[in-house]
Amino acid sequence: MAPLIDMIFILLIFFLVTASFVKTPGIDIQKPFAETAEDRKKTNLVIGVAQDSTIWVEGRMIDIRDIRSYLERFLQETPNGTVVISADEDSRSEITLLLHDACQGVGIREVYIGAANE
Amino acid sequence: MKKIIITGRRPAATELNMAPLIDMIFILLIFFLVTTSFVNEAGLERKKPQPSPPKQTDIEKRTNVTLGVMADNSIWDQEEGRSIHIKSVRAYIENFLIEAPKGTVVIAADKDSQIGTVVKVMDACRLAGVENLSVAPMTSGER
Repeated sequence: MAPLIDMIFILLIFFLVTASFVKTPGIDIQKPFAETAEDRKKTNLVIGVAQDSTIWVEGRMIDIRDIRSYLERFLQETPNGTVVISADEDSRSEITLLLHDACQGVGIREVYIGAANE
Repeated sequence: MKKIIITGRRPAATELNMAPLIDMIFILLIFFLVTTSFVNEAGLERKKPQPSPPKQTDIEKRTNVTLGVMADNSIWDQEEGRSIHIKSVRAYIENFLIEAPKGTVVIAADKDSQIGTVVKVMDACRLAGVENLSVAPMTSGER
């Protein structure tokens, strides 16, 4: 019995450590393709911009005016968090740039514009 | 009257029941197995143009290019007023970098342009080897 419990404990600790709980937007996004996009391993939050330029976080739609307070709360929960703005390729670029400005405005250091690289 | 005399022997050693512990660990294990998602997000870094003091340079040489992405997703060289096809952006920027290896490229995106086009232009500039690449919303004066 003891080796079994040992093994299960090791598996448990592995999953405890690797669980990162990424907050996903919960919508289907056709991301633009970019050859030079690099993988961002430690992503904590993905902000989705749908084709009709609506903003989605954690499975719900959010107004552009409410994004700042949301990001402030996110930063309190996850200091040094990484944000990827995953915008549909047909969405208006203004939204992505505004979101990027808002992220940097509240003090999130690592903000990236999402793209597919394969 | 009968007197019941209990003369039970105590067990030599008590054994800890492991079953509930294992049950609990299994449940935790399954929880983390199910919730762990190895999300691999890829992304591009965006810099904003920094206002820099005018440098003393040759008047003949250009040290920066402003690529405008319009509402209809056409790409223009803002200073020279030339239209550039999306597929020739890379070659255009490579040519510019031969003249000015440390040159700056600013992408000015119209608010109604598609982000897909902006990302394509960013990608082309990065492939061309631009070191100072920044993306900004287009101001009304640039249109």
